[in-house]
This record gives sequence, C-alpha cells and structure tokens, in this order.
Amino acid sequence: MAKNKNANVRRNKSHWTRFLRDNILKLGFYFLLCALSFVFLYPFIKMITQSLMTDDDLINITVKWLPSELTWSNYNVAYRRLQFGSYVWNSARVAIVCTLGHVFSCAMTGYAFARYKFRFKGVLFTLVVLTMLVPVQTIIIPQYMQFSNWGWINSEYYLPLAVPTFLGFGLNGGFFIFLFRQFFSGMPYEMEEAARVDGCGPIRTYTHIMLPMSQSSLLVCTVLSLVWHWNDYFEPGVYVTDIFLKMLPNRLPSLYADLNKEQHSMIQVNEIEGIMFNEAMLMAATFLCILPIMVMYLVLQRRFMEGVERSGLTGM
Amino acid sequence: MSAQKAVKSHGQPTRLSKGLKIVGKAALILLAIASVVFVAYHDWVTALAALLLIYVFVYTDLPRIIGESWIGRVILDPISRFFGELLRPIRWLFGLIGKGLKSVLRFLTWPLRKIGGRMSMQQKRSCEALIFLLPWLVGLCLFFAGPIITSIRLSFSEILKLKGFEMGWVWLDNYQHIFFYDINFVPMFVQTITDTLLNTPICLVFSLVIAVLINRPMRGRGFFRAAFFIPVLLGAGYVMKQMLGMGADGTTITTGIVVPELIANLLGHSLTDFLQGVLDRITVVLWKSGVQIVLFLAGLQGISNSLYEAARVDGATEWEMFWKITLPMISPVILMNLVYTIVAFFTDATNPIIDYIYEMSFTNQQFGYGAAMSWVYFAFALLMCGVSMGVVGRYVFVSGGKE
Repeated sequence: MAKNKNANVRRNKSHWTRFLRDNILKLGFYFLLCALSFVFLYPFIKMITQSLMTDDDLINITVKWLPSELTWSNYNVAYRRLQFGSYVWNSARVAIVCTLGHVFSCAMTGYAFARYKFRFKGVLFTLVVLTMLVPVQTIIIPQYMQFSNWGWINSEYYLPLAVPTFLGFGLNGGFFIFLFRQFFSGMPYEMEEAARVDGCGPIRTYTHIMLPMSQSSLLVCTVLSLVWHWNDYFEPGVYVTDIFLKMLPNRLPSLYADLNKEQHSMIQVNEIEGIMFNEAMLMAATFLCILPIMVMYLVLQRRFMEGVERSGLTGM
Repeated sequence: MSAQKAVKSHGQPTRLSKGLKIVGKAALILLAIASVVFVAYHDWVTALAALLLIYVFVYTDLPRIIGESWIGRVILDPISRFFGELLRPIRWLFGLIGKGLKSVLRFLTWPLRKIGGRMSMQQKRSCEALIFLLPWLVGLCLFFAGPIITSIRLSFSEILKLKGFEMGWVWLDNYQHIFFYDINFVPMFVQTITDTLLNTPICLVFSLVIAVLINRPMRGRGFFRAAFFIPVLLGAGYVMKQMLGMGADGTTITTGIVVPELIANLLGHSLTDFLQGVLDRITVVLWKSGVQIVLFLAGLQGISNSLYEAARVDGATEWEMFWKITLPMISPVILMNLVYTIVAFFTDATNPIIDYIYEMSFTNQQFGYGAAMSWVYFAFALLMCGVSMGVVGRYVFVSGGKE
C-alpha cells in the first residue's frame, strides 16, 4: 500500500516539475520575444507618443513615455505644414506606378531565368546579380546626365523613376528578379507541359497559368516594392527638384531644417506664421508621412506573411 | 440555401460566438488602455502596455472583422455591388479593345509564325525566352551598361561644360585627389568599412535567431511576425535617419535602448560605456534587419517537415536539429542574405560617405570627382561581396538531384 502511495506521489511530483519547467521555459521564451519586439517597436512607439505631447511635456524630463494630456493639434499643424493633402498624391502615384512596373517586368524576367534554357544564360544571370550589387550611388551621376540630356529631369510623369522599373531596373530591381526566379523555379512543371500539349502559347501559359499560381509571391513583391518606393528619397531627391512635384519623404528635410534654424537662435518653441513649431510637430509630420504605407501594411500583413511562408526560398 | 445554412451552423462557430470573441477583444483593448492610464509614468509598465496596445492594433484582423460584421453586410456589400454594376460596361469596352488588339497582333505576327514553323524545338524555346527577357535586356543597355561605361569614363575625366556635359580627360587625377589630398574621404571610408564588417554578422545572426524563434508554433505568432517588419515601414529613408540622429544635428530623439542604472552602477563607467555602445549598435542593426528576417522566414518555411519528423523519431534534440538540419538547409538563403546585407549597409542612407559623394557631385558640381569616389566605394563593396561569397559559398549545402 505504502509503496503504491509513494509511487503515486512521486509521479505527481514529477508531473508538476515537468509542468513548471515547461512553463518557465515558455515564459522565458515569451519574455525574450516580447523584449525583442519591444526593441523593434521602440521607434514607432516613441514617435506616436512624442507626437501627442505638448511643448511643456517636451521640456519636462519626468514625461518620458506618456504625454500628460493628449494633444491632437500637432497633427493639425503638421498636416498644414506638409501640405499633406496635395503631396500624398505625388508619393502615391510614384509608388503605385513603380510597383506595377516592378511586378510586370521582374516577374517576366524571373520566369525566363527559371524556366527557359538559352545561350549566355549564366552570363546574363551574373549580370542580374551584378545589378543587385552595384549601388545606386555609382551610376546615379551618368544616369542624371543621361536623363537631363533626354529632358526627363523634373518630368511631370516621373519618367526617370518609372521607366527603369518597367524594364526591370530601378530601386532593387535585380533583387526582385532574383526573388521571382526562386519562386518560379520552385513550381511544378506539369501544369506548363499540360498547357503546351493543349496548344497554349508561351505568353498565354505565363499569363493564364503561371501568374495566377504565384499570387502569394506577387503579393510579397508588391508589398516590398511599395514600401521601398514610398520611403525612398535618394533617387527622387536627385531627379525631382521641382517643389510641386516633390514627394513626402523629400518634404521632411525642409521641415527639419526649419526647426534647426530656430533651435540655433536659442528659441525652442517658436511661432512662425502663427503656427506652433516644435519637435512634437515634427514627429507628427513623420508619422503622417508613413501613415498611408502603414495602413496598407496593416491591411495586407496577414496575407503578406502567408505569401512569405509559401514562397519557398531554399535551394538556389 | 437553408441546407447550406444548417451545415454552416453545425460545423463553424456561430455568429454569436464570433460576436462574443470580438467583444472579448474589445474588452482587452479597453483593459490595456486603462492599465496604461493607471500606471502612467512607470517606465517598463508603460512600455509593456504600449506593446499590448499595438498588439491589438496589429493582431486583430480589422478589415476582415469589419467585413464580416453587420457593417460589412449592410453597408459595404451593396456599395461594392453598385460599383461592380458601374464597372460592367467599362469591362465590356476593355474586352472589345482587347479582342481588336489581338486580331491586329495576329495579323502582324504572321511572318514570325511562318519563321517559327521552320525552327527546331530548341531555337523556338530560346526565342520564347527572348520575348520574356526583352524588356530587361533593353533596360540593361539603357540603365545599366550605358551608365556604367559613362561612369568609368567620367571617373577619369572632368566636366568642362555643364551644358551637354562635355568631358575632358584628366586620367588618374581624380583618384590621386581622393587618396592624397582629400582629408574627409579616407576616414569616412574606413569608418564605413568597419561599420559594415561589424554590422553584417550581427545582423545575420540576430535575424536568423529571430526568424527561428518566430517560426515556432505559438500564441501571438501573428503579432511577433508583424512587429519586426515595422522598422522597415519606418524606412531606410529620411525618417529613420532622423531617428538615429545622423541627419541634421541637434534633433536626436532616440539613443537606442539604455543600460539599466542598477547594472551601470555595478559595472563602472568605462565598461558601461562599452556595453552601451554594443547595445546601441545592436538596436540600430535590428531596426534594419526586417527584410533579412522575412527572407529567413521564407527559407525556413521551405524546409520540408519530414526531415524534422525523421530526426525526432531518431531522438534528436531541438539544438541538434538546428545545427544538423536547419542550418545546412538554409545556407543558400544565408548566402543571399549576406550579399543583400552587405549591399544594404553600403548603400544605407545613414552612411556619411554617401552624403559626401552626393554633396560633391551635385552641390559642388564636381561630377568626375564624385564618380571616381563612388567607383572606389563600389570596388570595395564588390570585393567584400566577392570574398564573402567565395568563403561562405564553399559551405553552402546544395541539395542533390537538382539540375
């Protein structure tokens, strides 16, 4: 009897220790993840909280995270200073057109590299990798000269930004070609062969069979391309200098410069044109700049992550 | 219709339970906000609470919930149906145009088809490949090969006349100027190289670890996966530059994560400074590693589950499985990520040298000098990529049986 009882207790104890150990491990794991994601979210949280502060809160050192009261007027001022309503359309136009171009051209090129055998394939693919490696800064000077010879600088349709993307270049074009090649080479051959047997031409095979099958990877490339084009400010800063054609990220530097000027004149918070101007407003302006892309990401994020998981990137 | 409904109510959660779930989530949001308000001004608690708030923001699939609730059914559905009706004639018109274009194309490509009939299968296939490659080849000539050649020429010459960009040869003068006369370039260059050499391994190791952690089945997986991508949204652009305080001076808002005071008191001044430096670097690198994590996640998902199952049956631990299965299988992605990371750090907007080149060539109008500097810069980036590809490429595991 006693032996039996003892065994029972021991089993219970071992059960509990295992339970505890598992849960402590799990807790530690979650703690680690929470800490990491806090690091990742830090700039974002900081930006939002600071954008809601009043000028008193900005100076007050006891206010570190939460503003003592929520002030939405910063957003109002930032909206007007940025002229958000008109400039957001410039940004949106460029980002959408360039993304369409990337998806169109890079998917095609990636498909050719994944599925066809032709002469100089190795050389051409090395060139794709090389376009990935060459930084924009190396070729931006001759490109600027080329575009200014063609009269494309400050073009109303953003030709220097949009045309390269339709030909598989532009911002990270080589990277997208590489990604699409990986996606397409992971797909089964049977579908295409069946289509060819049934008398389907190469273009129709591509548009009617391969593209619908690769929706998830198309989505991944769309999201990445949209985000990169929205945030890019180096190339637009060179090619688009007209004040009315500028895009949102290129509007920010002038705001920052204004703030600096005022800080050097030893006045922290100043009134220009009857408008309050401080760091909180700058944060609000920054937040406004990324707000559209943020909303886009929040809407698409589930499907984006699913697309990433389905893409199957192993096996070069 | 009724039969369908009956099946639905049997198998799937009812509308009531779904509604309750939404109410529960809303209560959680309220609780989070209440806790934020209640414990304001206590640092870590507020941080955690803010985290919770954003968790709710990201994790709840707002558009789907709205679409499935009564708002979607009563208001949004009829609107979309109305627009669908509006779009019908436009779609019809596009169809008509498409048909017309198709017949014209058929007529125009008749000689091509005639030639195609005489070609061998292989020739035909390469012609088909040419169709798909054509845009890229045109782009290669216009936006890559041309500028590269001009850029090489430009680095050996100077601009004589700005209008029309007339060039005159100066041979090695630009390069001489970079290394012997310019006092800014070499220190910046060295700093950029050391930064890249330090940041790349940190970035790769951390993003691989994070990807492996996130890839496990667990609660709140969606949130964690969404969270690490958010710095990418903040951008490689001006926004992040300001955040890091590298842009215009004086407007720094973040200095990374601070070493806790308790530990700082224990360690002493110099050691704390060192630790702070390491932490700062890691935070900055982490913010820039969103894309790398995405690529690693994609790679991890590509590994077949049967390998892990077989290993588990044979009694392998998680640790062994990581080193013997995950790492070899993911090695091609590591190589790709390595190259991407090196290039990303080299062309990063927070790099002082890039600003310098930009300023020299566009503000000072010394295009030739700028081109020479960017070639020195690029040559080194290429060298680093080549070396790392050569070294890491040797260890890349290529699964057999392909090609």
